[in-house]
Amino acid sequence: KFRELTAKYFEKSAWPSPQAVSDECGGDELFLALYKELTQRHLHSIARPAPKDRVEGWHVYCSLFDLILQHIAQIQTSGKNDGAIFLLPEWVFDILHEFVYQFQGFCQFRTTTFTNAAKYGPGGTNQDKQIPHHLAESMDVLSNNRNTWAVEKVLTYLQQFNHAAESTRVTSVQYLALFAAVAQARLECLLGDYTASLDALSLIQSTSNDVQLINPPRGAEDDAKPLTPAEVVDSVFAAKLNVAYHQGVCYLMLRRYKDASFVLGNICSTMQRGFKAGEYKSIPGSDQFGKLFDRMIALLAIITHACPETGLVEDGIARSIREKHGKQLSKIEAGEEGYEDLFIYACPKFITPSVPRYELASMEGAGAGAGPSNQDAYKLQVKHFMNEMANQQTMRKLRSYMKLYTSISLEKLGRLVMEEDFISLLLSYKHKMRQIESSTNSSGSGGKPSSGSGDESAASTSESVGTVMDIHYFINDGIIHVDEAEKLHRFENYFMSQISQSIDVMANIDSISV
Amino acid sequence: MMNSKASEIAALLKTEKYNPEIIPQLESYLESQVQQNVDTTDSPASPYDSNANRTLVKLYQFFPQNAQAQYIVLAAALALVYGTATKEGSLDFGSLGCLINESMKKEEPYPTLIRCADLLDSCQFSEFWSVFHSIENNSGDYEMVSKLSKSFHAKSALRKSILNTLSLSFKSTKLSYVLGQLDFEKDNESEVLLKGESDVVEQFNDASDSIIFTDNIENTKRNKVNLEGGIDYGMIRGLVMSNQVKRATAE
Repeated sequence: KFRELTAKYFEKSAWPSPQAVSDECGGDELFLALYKELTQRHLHSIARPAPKDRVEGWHVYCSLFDLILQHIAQIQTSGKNDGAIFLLPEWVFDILHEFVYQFQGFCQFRTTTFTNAAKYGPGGTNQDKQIPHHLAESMDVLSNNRNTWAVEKVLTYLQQFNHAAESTRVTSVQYLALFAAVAQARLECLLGDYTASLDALSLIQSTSNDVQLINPPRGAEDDAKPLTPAEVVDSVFAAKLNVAYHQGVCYLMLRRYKDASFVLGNICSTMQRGFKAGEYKSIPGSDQFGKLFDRMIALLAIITHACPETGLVEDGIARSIREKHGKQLSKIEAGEEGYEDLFIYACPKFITPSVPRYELASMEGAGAGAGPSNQDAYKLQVKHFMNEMANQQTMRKLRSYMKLYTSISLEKLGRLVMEEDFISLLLSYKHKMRQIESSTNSSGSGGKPSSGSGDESAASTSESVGTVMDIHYFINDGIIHVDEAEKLHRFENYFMSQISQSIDVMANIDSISV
Repeated sequence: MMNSKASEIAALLKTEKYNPEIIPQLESYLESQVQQNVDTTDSPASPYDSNANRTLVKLYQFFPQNAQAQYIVLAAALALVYGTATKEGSLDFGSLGCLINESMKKEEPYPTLIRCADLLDSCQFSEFWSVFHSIENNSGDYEMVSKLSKSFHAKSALRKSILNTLSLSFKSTKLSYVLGQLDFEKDNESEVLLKGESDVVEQFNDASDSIIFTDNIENTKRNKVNLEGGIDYGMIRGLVMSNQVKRATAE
């Protein structure tokens, strides 16, 4: 209803202020706080926010979250939900998603402002010019609001929502916990802490038998069933997409290519089918889905090219990868650089969370990059990624030779490959392709715990060590023995794709007018 | 003592993870991890806590004015030594590097640690050891890093990790080659390690210069072909829906 009214009456303008509508709701604090968040979010979407609007946004969220946490504390003390908090999953996701989005925007804004202001300081490129008024004003606002959008406070709010669900079964509080976990996973990914991002999702993706079901919200239909945390998140498609994308990035950066391909491949397959059936047109924000789909396809292009194991993604997705990135991948095959461009296109906008020392902008040396810049965060992650992708071409060359033989002496293969320290290359290829994978994602041998490492803890968790190679080799007395890796014969994909193509052909035939 | 400290830190991280006031405690805990490696003759109880060390580095990321290079270097050094030893496939050193600004990585011994990590990852173990030993001379004022690089426990952890990596590719090879990869100077020291790793090393013989690794899934022939199938609802949902849409449109 809010979207309809916005489109009809406030498409390019702001809604009435909370003060103006206060009488209509009896001055209800929580209602007004939620109203303020909703209308302020709309304002941010129609125009580029001014520095003061960004600061105001922080205060809006602080007021709202403090109020919600107060209500939650009352519920925890009294053991009863007086019905004050009633939020649906989509709404909770929208609030927390926008919260992290505004934080991300503010981090970029403050580091860009600092970097630009420093150019007008001593030693800067524009030191002889007067600092523009808007820049000076922005620096003033930032200097007077140093604690606004402080990263530790943002994360603390998310953590508090996460913990709130531990002592109450109220449905809205459970929703807050789940979508706070989704928001936290995204934020940790933007900060470059991929391990913490995956840990944040453990609340949602627990596969244990003790996982708590979440009751349907008040007013739901009689046949509505309790859902698992994963089902609640999946019920909001934008949240599901968000989780999959950031999880895929984290797995890629942590060298867990099978998990990355599973997560990204699944969501891309779902989306590809959904786009064909027109499923997403009615979902708000669906114009962004296509862009995210393209970025995930680019990530899958990297993964499927680096990991020669076949069957990592469905045929339809493999086809999309070839169509969109076939040329680029051929260039990489020929020895040119290409992974970096793909990654830069596909990666999230990483952020520098620290507050700059604004006083340095007017001091000697600031123009030479003494402070943080937005480029720092993203360059750091790109460097890590490229480090991981180093030697890919050499390893592909080694693999292509090994596929020709079932057994070959070390000396002979060394002469063919012609690489310095060839034995280290053999060891390192296997070492790098042995990766952690979730047992729910794994297929074939991946589900078994790693042997030879004596790592018993891997067997008791849902993770194990598997391989993404499509060949298997070992060295015995100077001879390399090469087998193909354990195969999975799966026929259903072939049948499904043929059925789908047959339906398309029949539809085309039916449409022919004779 | 260390176990109680580890529990204390774990409890602190549950509630105060983003509070800069816990930085001194995390720094002290990091020092004690290194101290365990350096001082104790028995196996250290908790030589490495990746979660706590990563939290410290992250707090430095949030509050760079509190960052201390010596602790960043110590955290990175521990991640290098224990990263893969604790959990195969983990990328502790690399993922920690994603939280550390490039400017903090320019001063020695950090560049040497990066070189060590690259050599370890590319299995150039002989060269790795010569660079690893140079940490002692490249540490500058970072005495604790120098001590860690010379400690028995750090070397032992690295050797076990390297031995495991070798066992994944080799079924059998020359003992002299393996000892070279493990940087052994004394024969009895190598014998103690190899005998202690009986789940990795089946047998070794000095006289015939041979070593045979225990069978594992990676160093033995594979014959099995798995047949698996199964369709999940998501795969057919789109088909069913598009079919229904087409029928409805036709009607």
